[in-house]
Amino acid sequence: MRNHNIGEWILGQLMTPERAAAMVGDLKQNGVGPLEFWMAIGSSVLHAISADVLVAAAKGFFLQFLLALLLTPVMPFMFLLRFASWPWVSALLILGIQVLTGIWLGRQTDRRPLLACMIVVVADCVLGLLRFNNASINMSIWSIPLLATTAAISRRHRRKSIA
Amino acid sequence: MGGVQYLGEFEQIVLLAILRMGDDAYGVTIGAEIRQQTARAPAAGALYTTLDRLEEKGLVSSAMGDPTPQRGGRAKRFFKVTSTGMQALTQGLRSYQNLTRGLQLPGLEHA
Repeated sequence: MRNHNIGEWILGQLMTPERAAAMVGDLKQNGVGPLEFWMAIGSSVLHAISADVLVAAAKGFFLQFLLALLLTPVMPFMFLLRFASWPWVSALLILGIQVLTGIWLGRQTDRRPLLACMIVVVADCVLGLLRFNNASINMSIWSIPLLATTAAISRRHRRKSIA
Repeated sequence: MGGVQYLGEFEQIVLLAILRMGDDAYGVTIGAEIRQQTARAPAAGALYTTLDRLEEKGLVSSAMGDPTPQRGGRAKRFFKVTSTGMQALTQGLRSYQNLTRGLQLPGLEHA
């Protein structure tokens, strides 16, 4: 039962809640085991990665670098004024970049901002593995809730303004 | 929306399964019918993605049924083929008929 609710929540990020519930209900009615259930959820996630989600994720990924270029000049200024120590300034910079990227992703992807966020995080982790631009796998993973939350809030705000 | 929409093989199979199930066409029955008639077990993700894509194209419509305890209080999502879907399906099957006319394919009664 708990697995079904979690699976339904995951699917709800990719489709309407009613459709997610219907699909999970079908799987429950079929009496599938946990392995088959999660394979079905996983395959739905993979099939949900449409071109527009990939494009939004790619743009969000490069947006992080653009924001870093724009915000980096601020860092020495803050450090010199002794607002914060260097690690804190870096952390705030990364925090700000993730928040802005999440907001942008929430505005760009109508139905699947969480999926786009996860793709961006995976790309960040790959960069961390390659040790390019000092990216960190840990920072990428820790940025998941922040990125996803801001994207979800941004999407909700966008829907309210449209409605 | 003008022009005929061309369907993929799996899309045709799903549409035919929906037609065969009539008023009882929802995920479970559609998948079971496909499995029974084609000896092919469609992946749940592929099936539901295809159903969503068909609905986006206007080839099927869906409506939510009543929730049942068997499904943990979750409703069924019933599908029907629209007139546009029937046109596309008919066009696709007519193409198969034209292509197979006069051929002697092993295992088939009529070709």
